[in-house]
Amino acid sequence: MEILCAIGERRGVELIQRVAETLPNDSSLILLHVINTGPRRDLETVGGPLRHVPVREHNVDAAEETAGRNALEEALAAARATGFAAETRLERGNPEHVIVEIAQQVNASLVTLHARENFHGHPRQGPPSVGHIARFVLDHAPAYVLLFRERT
Amino acid sequence: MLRLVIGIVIFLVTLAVIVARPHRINEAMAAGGGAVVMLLGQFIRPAEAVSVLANEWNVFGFFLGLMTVSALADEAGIFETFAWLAGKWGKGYARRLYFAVFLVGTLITVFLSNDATALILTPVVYALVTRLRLPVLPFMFACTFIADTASFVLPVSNPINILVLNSFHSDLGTFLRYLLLPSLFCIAFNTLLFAWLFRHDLNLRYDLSDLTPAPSGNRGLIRFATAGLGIIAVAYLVASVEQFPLSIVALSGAGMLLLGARYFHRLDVNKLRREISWSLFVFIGGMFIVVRAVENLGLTAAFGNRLLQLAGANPLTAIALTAGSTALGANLINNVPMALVMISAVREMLRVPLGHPALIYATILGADLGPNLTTVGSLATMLWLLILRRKGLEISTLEYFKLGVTVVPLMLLIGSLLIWVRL
Repeated sequence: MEILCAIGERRGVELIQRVAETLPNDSSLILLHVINTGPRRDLETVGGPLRHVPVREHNVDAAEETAGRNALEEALAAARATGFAAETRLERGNPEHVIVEIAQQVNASLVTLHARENFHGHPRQGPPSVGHIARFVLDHAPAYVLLFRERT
Repeated sequence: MLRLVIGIVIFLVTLAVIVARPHRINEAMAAGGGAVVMLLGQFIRPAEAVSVLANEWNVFGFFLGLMTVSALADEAGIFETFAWLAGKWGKGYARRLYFAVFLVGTLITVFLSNDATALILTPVVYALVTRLRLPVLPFMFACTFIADTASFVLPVSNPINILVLNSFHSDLGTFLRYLLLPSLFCIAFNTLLFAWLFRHDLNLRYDLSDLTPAPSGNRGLIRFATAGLGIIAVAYLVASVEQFPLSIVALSGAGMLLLGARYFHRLDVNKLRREISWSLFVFIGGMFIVVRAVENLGLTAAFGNRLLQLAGANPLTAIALTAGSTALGANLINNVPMALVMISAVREMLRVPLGHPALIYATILGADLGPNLTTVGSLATMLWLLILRRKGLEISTLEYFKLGVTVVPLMLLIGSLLIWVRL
């Protein structure tokens, strides 16, 4: 059974631990981190026609790549520690679309992710407890979707 | 009467096009077009328009010098170095890093203007916190807000200040007398309030080893540029005291940094040319002409007199009304045209006994702080919200409005009070 785990920037280890608590470790995990390229395009238009914004492509690229790789490495270590076979994938694009595409591509049986990466200031129950990425994946993924809420 | 109505219509249409930008018409084209129509309609004579623009040479020169200095400082790696130092100083604590970003933002705003912080420092901080895997939202808000909040510490902290001061020939002593206390209060208030609002997000640690070893770039050039910026900062202060044109200081500083960049083989003239927003000069020039035409119709004088009537005999009310209406107008029609309208109105207000020079500084307070009030206060704010939503850090327009409405009116009110106590 192929399980696609969508790993965010900070809480990948927590997601893997929750997966390990919930599912048998004979499944193999695909740990996916998507670098969101939307903000970069928006960054270029921040100033509007009157103000030029020097978006430092190289620096932003390096920062996003480092953050993504670190998140994946931590998640991979956690997966191996809990006995799962796992591989990592670092992709770029619109996160919700890429997660659905990869799920289709690898023929995943299950997609797991946090209902929301950051709960600060948001209620843990009710519609706002599910972020827009999780909501899109829930609606469009070609597989079962397992959402984890933050531990209380 | 018909002439008055036509003049008002041209003015309002110009402002509407600046704000709405239909068919991707940019602000410069709108302001330039408005100026041409005002000239064709003989609301302002060509000789008068030339004289208006010639009188503002200090403003144009300052904008050019400031943009060049910022671009060269960025090219030298100053912004990245400051952000990196903030990361080191944070010692792995998000909260410490947050205060360091506020400090760096304040320093850059004070000496290199609000645009340098909002447009150049923000992407650098974005890259830094992304690398450290910290929440982006609080840091982005820190950059965008402090760019406005710290922009009335010195005349050079915001080009709007130069725009206003150039019309009233004010000296640094008077500027500081009225605005130093309000600016210190606003910076402290903004920093502490945001640290409290984002306290949960900032209750995190980061790994110092995730920082890059040191900013890439030529160390000699970084040292030269740092020393050059120090000299420019001192020169700004001396020139403000002596009422020497700040444009000459900014352009000389730009010349010094240009020579340094050339010496260290880091001067790319084509890139520098691209980094300077030439259309800004058309926008400001066009607005100077449009507002002078409106002034010729007596509209700005009527607006100033109305403000004084509303204030009655109370100077505190006059100051608060001036600051408040400037801030409100900045959200409705952009702060550059609003500042120009207020300059004309305040000039009229100063002619009557109730008018007081403090109103000049109330105008600066409103025009500088105003854009933080709503998401439509500045284009940068609107677009940042879009970016944050795409990042999954959802904050609704209402939530932002609540933040702006909580913070800005209070800062305007206490700022006005602090101007009033120095009367």
